[in-house]
Amino acid sequence: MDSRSEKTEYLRRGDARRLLIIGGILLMLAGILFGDIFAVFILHPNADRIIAGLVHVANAIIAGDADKVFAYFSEIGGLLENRGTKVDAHVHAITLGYLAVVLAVLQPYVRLDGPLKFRLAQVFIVSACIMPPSIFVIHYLGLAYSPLASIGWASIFADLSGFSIILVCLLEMWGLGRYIFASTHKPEADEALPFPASWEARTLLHSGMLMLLIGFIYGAVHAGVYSEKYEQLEISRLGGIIGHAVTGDQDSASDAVGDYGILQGQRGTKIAAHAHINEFGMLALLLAFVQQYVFLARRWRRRWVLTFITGSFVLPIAVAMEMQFGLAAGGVADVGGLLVFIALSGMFAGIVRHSGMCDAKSEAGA
Amino acid sequence: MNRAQRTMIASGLIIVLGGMVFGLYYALFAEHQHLAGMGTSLSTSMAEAASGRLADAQQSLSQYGDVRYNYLRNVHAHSHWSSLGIFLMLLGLALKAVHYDERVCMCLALLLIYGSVAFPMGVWLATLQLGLTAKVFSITGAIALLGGISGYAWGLRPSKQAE
Repeated sequence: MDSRSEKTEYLRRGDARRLLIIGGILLMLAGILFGDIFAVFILHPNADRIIAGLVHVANAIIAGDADKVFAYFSEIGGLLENRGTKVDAHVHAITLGYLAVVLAVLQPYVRLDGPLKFRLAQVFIVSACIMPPSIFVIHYLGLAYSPLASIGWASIFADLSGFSIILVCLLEMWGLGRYIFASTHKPEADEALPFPASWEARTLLHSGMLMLLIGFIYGAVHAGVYSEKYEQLEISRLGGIIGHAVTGDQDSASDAVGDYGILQGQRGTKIAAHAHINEFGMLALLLAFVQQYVFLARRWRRRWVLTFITGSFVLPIAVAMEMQFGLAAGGVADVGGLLVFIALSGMFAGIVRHSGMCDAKSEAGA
Repeated sequence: MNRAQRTMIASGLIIVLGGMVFGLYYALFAEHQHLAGMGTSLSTSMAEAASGRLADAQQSLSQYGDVRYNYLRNVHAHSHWSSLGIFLMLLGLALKAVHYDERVCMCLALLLIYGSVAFPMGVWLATLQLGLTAKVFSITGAIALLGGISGYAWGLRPSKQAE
């Protein structure tokens, strides 16, 4: 049974929920799109250049040239920072988007004045929009004009925005605490948390839990069996590069660099598969709570849900198989990410339509 | 909201906050130093090898391993606390979909809360050289999380009462 007949909550102008849901989903969309672009155009070329750099380092060791070693490592450090800051920006944009939507769903239970809640939502969204670009820019800005020895302006902005988000969450927690410790526990009568009961919401809830279960088991196996082994192997393979280079064996040194690259690939793909299936599982649970605001025809709501679930499984499975099937699997993973982006965009369009409908109703009522 | 929901949501928010405060502290006071330390020790190791000082090179490589060990675990703790906090809040919000009575829901909530705190805590404690204590927290935390999420997923299946 489709439960569109259940009471529909409205996202009115000035409602903190509306700002947090729309802002949160926009953050997620930006983070996902950025991640897909990064995976297609930067990830693999960057990894290839790091490995090439290590081959140069091995050759410099053979030649006995310590200055060249430092020079090549400086380049490798730049490539690692390039990749690390981009992954960081991607992760933070999406996670802050998640937090925004969770806070949105909790708003009826946060016992603070409406204008204050809206102001907190504004501060959260603004800070959340500052943090990922600040992290992205760290690689390009470095320590230029920084007042501190090891932290540049980009990091300062990222840390300040993080601090703002912490303050907002503290206030939200205080408001939530007022509800939890109150003598009565009913939220405002017309803002009770609706239980996600539509087909779309239940499908997202169940598929999200399945993704989380798979992701947790996969992560536990990785942590228990592979994690420390990979760390020890990393040091061992770096030692192997040094050992072969010192004896002047260029071919063996290059092979050792290749082995090191394969190890990093194995570790990286396992971690990425674990992280992505868990993140998509959480996103599915989140989206279950906003389906009531997706103002689209039933067939489109269901198509977006199925598209989302398809992409959410395709991406992590393809990433996990990337070491066996190479760039073909990587391409399939990118398609999976694109499906998630398209589905989320479709749902977002429905939410924007809903907010427009609310505004039109308010004006008609006025 | 019932008691189990309130407990999960409040705990989740506290864990998210804790994760973010930890992340901010690490970013401000330690991350850059760890990154610089990894770069310096590894490049020094290779340069010492180039200069023929193999013993020094091994020493520097070992130092790289130590710094990287700490770096990975600090990042792991921050990311897992933050994510598990959000995860707890979401499961708390959806708890009404689970077909258990309130006592079982409360047990499930406590199991998941313990796991969400203990697992990343165990990983982080390894940086303080607390080997056995760290392992106890991380293993019991992981088991609690797996048990909790399995129990939660089982409770979502359609029940005869619901039908």
